Amino acid sequence: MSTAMSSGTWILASIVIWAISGSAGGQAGKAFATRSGGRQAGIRYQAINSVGLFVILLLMIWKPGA
Amino acid sequence: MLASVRPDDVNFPLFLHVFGAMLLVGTLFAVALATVLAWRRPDDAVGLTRFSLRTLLMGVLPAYILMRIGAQWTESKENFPDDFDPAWLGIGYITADAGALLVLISLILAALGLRKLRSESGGVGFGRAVGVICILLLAAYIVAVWAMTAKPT
Repeated sequence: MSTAMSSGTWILASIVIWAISGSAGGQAGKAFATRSGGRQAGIRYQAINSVGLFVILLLMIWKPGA
Repeated sequence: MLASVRPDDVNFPLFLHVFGAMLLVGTLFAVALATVLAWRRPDDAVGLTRFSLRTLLMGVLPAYILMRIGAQWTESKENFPDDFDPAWLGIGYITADAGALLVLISLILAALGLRKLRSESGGVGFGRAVGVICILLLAAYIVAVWAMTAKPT
């Protein structure tokens, strides 16, 4: 992965993932707030949010391409 | 400078340390929030107290252990010189080790509180005490996160 990414790409990737994670987190909140059938969708969105933040941490520590 | 690149063998211990610290702050925040909500909603106090005490036992303790082991491992891999004693490292040690005592006290209170809740003979008071300790810990760890990331000296 490090050879494919140019210097600074890990920062751009982190910003994109952060935006996606933030959006998924917002959707999770809305899904949990709905009375019927929102729990499954909420868990799904929350999982996307958590995985996104985990990937950002990996990018920030290993800095592929830097 | 876009990024400081450290030796590869430091990355994994540092990852464990930061991941543990993130989980620690997150779980402490969850405990503190549940405690405040339990205070404001007496009808839901038992359920919220049970949630906060369980979060402390199953979330805060493993996160603290991960953070502390990661910290020591990272420091050993960094090979700092003997006279290397910056303020940010000292703040990290003080908050982590003083925090260990507070985490231990809150774990004992949480175990007692959960036992009381199970026997339906109270336990909300234990939850409140744990919540106050967790708010103090949260404040200390926010200062530690700032010191360890901004490295003011």
